Amino acid sequence: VRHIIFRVAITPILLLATSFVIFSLLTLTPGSPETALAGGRHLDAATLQALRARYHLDAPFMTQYVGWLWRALHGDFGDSISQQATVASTVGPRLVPTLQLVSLAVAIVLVLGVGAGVLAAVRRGGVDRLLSGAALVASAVPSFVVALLLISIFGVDLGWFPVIGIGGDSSTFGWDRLHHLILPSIALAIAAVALVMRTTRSGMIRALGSEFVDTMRSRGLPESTVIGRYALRHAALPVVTITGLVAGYMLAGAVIVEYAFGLNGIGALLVTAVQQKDFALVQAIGLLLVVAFLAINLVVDLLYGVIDPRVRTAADR
Amino acid sequence: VITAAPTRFDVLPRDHFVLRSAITRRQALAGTGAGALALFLAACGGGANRGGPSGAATTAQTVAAGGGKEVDVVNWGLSSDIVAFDPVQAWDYATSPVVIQSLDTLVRLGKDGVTVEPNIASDWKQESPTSYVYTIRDGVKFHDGTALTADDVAYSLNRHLDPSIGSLLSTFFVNVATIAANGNVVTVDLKKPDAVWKYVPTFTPGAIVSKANVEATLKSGKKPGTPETPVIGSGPFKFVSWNRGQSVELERFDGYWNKDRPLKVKKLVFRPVADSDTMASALLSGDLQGTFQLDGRATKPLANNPDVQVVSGPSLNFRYLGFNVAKAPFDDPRVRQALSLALDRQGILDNAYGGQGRLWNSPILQEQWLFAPDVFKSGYDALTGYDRDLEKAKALITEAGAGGKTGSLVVSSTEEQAIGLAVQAAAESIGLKLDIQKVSGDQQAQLLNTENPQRDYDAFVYNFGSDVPDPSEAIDVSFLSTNPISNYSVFRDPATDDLLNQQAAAGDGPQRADLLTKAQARIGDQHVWVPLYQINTLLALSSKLGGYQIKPLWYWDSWAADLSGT
Repeated sequence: VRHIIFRVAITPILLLATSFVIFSLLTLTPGSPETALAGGRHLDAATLQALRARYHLDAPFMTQYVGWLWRALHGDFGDSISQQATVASTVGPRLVPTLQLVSLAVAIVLVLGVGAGVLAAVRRGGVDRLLSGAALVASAVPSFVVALLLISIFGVDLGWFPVIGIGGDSSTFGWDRLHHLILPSIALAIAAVALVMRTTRSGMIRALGSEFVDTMRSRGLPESTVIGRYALRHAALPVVTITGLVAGYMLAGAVIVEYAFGLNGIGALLVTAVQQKDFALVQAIGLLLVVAFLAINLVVDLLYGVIDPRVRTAADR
Repeated sequence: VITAAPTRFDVLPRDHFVLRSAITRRQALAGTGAGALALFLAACGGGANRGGPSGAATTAQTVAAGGGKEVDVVNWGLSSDIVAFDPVQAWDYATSPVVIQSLDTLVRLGKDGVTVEPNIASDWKQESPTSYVYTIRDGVKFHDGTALTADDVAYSLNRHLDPSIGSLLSTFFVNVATIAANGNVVTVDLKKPDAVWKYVPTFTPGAIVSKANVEATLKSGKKPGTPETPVIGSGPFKFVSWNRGQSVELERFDGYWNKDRPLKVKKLVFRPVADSDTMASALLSGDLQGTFQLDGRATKPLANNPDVQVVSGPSLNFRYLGFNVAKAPFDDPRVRQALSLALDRQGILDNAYGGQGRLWNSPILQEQWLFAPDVFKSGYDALTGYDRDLEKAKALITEAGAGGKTGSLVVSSTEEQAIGLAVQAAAESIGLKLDIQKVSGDQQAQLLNTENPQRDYDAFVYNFGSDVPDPSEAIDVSFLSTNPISNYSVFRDPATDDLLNQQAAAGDGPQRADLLTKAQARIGDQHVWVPLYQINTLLALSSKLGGYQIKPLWYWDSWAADLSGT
């Protein structure tokens, strides 16, 4: 419990440091945001000057940063230059597709990855070789290639799935949304499925060969209980760790899949924001990603305690 | 796969490079898929449908005649999301075409794409070189049912003059003194004659919004043009919803005043799809029914597909190789001419844009020869020396002592990279060494639109898209020394300035055409640019739709009102 309190306590310091680094890096990159506004067309000098003043771009670096920080602490994350709207109203709608995409991908990773891993470990032989071979291929193919293949086969040729957008009008998650997100989440998940499958497989093989499993079997516990309740639990720690890492990676890496499927999530927005030097927007998304990473780590830590009681007591000592 | 030498930025460009190179791989891989043979054949058969340099590609073609049938929903692909539902921010290629379906403009370009015809103004005339009078049509209703008045018109136009609003279109109003309503008449007085003005109210600067609605939004402390506070117009389609990043939905406005344009599309949904190849897939799968924003090369998989038609016509957009004439090595006209002579421009067009365009030698396009066309024609015919001549090019380099000189070449999109590589190879063949700098579209805009007189590049590949049919726009913006930001070449020539200033004051006629062609010749003689090619406007449309005749300035046109089912 204590280390969790510590984690939460240092979060604001981490965020402050991150925001300063983001701001500095963005200032160092070449170009100016106001020119990006017209989509590459020319603007006259007077309009440029007016835009610069409106977005505080004429102030020196530290004044800009402190001004941003002050407003952010009061809940005002500023105006996005590239989107011509407040950051708050811009980020929300773009976060939804990414969160849903990543959640669905993590679900696929857990179900398929753990399922295939357990199956390979229990059956061994031909099944194991087949699954391991498939995992090797899956982990070697980049997500955009998977995306293009899925679009070409299941979207264009067979016409089973839509190839662009997230469907539906609101942030609710219904069948239509699921239908739109299945192909993208498979594309995003497939390499991670392979990773989790191999981790599960090796953990399970080790657990199934260990003495405590022999003991349980000798006491006559049914094989399903041995595998499901004991061996799997034993193998779960590295799987949880890997899945947590993968989920964080997916949040940041979803942009490629978002791009291929025209999903326009937070990743695509971040890329636009960085290219247009949209300070306020980059800050907000950057900090959101940091919070998401911290939250995922926290969840993983908590799960450690649930899975293995020894972690709980060790942490409290 | 294109590998531009020093890649300075690792972030994904707007026009995603990795995905694009993968598409060729997809076409190769497609041989294993179920219906892949068709896709493969379509990809290979694209050659037959190519618009050659002098072929059908340059003549306007009507889309398969619309059958006049009603259509429930049309999903339309845009290359990016809109930034606002408000004309003061409508200047990119997504916001403008969306807003223009919903808002009426004061006047409108006719079917020929150049004649200014009545719209909200039932009549208009130029009373003096600096005074334009518009009579506002009776009985026009906004989407909320209120009547459109001359007051709304004056208010809408005056918004572009208000610096606190920061209109992106304010540049079109620099010569405007006052805009005032009186009864059912709106008068626009200019500070000095402006040849371009008559076209300005034909597109988003002339879009009419409800004054009462904008004022109510402002009064509640909100900003007009957000998904919650869209402006209200009187055009063929009314705003339904805007889900940021996902879709903008419009529906047919049954109270539309213009009964000569019966509306057949009930619902129009715009969807942003950044990648051109994804857009092509979405057209094949039926997720989209049309788009104007396919890359020339992305049309190939669509050729010979029975469900999708690709129609092309001329655009007012051309590609060019620009030089920074203030810096070595391109401060010497001989070096610029040498590189121009070393280029295989037809090869570049075929390779970089799938042949979807035509070679053109001037910043004034043929579609812009609106008056005294014979003067423009003889001026254009006098521009010579664009044929490839390696021997002469090498001789010029030797004469200039430029052998072994180096320079940088800025490119952005995949198309520009392809052009850049060809330019690099041509430069090498005459003994110049060019380093390609690949940047994102936004970074390119920032590099070029700088107030820094030094400018951090030696050459660049770029495009110019005119906003109006008038012949002067590209030449004015790019070569007047009084436009220090948009004069990317740092070209300072008093004689050219004089010619351009004189033509702006002259009325349309042989004299103005003569001044423009003289300026064009001066710029050509000094090889400030190498004009490359004019691209085609490409419309990819479901075979179930028709009725729209391509206009060069599609992004300013309410084309959706013409679409119908076949």
